[in-house]
Amino acid sequence: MAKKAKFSFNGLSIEADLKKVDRKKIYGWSSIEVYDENKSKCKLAGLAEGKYILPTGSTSLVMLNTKGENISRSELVGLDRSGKRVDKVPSVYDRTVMLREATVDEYLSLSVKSVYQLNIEEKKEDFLKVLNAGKIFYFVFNYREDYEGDDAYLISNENEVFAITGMLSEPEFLGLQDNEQELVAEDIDDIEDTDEGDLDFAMF
Amino acid sequence: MIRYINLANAKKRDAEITFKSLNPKPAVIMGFANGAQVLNKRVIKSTSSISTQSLLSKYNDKPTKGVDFQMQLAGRLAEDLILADPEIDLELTGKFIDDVSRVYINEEQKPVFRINKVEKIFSPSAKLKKERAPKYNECNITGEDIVKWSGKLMPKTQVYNKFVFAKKYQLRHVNGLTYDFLFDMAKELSDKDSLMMLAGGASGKEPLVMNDGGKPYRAFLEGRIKGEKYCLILHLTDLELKPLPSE
Repeated sequence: MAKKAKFSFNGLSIEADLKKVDRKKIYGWSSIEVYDENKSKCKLAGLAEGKYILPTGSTSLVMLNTKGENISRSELVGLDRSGKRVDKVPSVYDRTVMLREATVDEYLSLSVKSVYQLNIEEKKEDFLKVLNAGKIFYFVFNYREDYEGDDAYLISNENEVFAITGMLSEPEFLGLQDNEQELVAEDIDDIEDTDEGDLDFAMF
Repeated sequence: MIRYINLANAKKRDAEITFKSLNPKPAVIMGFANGAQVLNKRVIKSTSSISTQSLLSKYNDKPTKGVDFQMQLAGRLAEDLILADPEIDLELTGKFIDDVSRVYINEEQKPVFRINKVEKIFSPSAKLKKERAPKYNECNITGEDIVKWSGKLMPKTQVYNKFVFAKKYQLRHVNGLTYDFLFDMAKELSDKDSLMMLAGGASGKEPLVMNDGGKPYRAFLEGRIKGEKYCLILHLTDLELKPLPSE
């Protein structure tokens, strides 16, 4: 039986199992296959120092202390930006998740990471009624106990309830004098990886 | 790197402005409780010359009657792995590497220099629908291209649960003129409490491709106002908020 998360708001409690909404399952997908001149299938690999060929899985990330000794993740703790230790955020499956009402603007500031469809067996109609009236609920989402939870919102599209998870962005309000702030280097890694093929889609 | 976008307003007046990603960075990092530094390094575990496939190809054994040949070779390799450790290169295993280029390798794990690419398109039920030469999407938000207001204004309260807005960018002015241009745009959208669908390409109806080779996204512009300050957020989506198909 699927694990269930328990959500509570204003005395109304629901239990639901969360199913990840994968774009592939809705629109399908495309993949690019590569062949050499002899029509033999090729794979992408790494090339280090111009001579070592590193097929997928040939490298690993390791964590070291200042003496160069290998350390395990269990020796580390979560630290915030000021270097203060943070507590672990429990999994949504480990305790009742208390919901708080949120605004559309707050929800629209979310950079979305994942979408889950909630399978609710009892009181689904009651909860849908609340959400279909335009209510949005905020909670902290963590699939497993960890040091940082995601921001998450419960919304409905009339017939189903979804949990949209990600991280809240912090857009700035810009005045006339704020144009100089744009002259900062933007992270190159934000530019998409162009290797992934994808379906062109027409949703309207 | 400053990134530019050509944006037109409702009156079809266009201006080149900049934009910045709004994807937040993690607020928590992993470290020692005493604040000591943790170094992350990438190391080599193995290379193609000591991969299972390469090691198997070194045997010149002949098939034994009544024995699966693959199993015969695997058994031989298993013995060698225990006795001689051929899968470990003492010079390379654990070596730190920083700069790794990417190459295509064939089934013999040798680099190839001429390749053909085929794009395979699958249905949601994993059926192959068609094969074609890969489609390359060119950036259509800058240069000759102008991102236009489509005229499709959607109230926030109606659009938030129709699409999943995966990516966000903040639009920024570059001078006094573009400040006025963007402020007016933000005010109009804020007053109407709505998002405007933006589109690109020659037809003015195409989804936006933010960089060469990138994915196409439908785009919606949101405007917020606080006194003399504005905030314009470009929301990108490639997913409608739809239930999963029943299995």
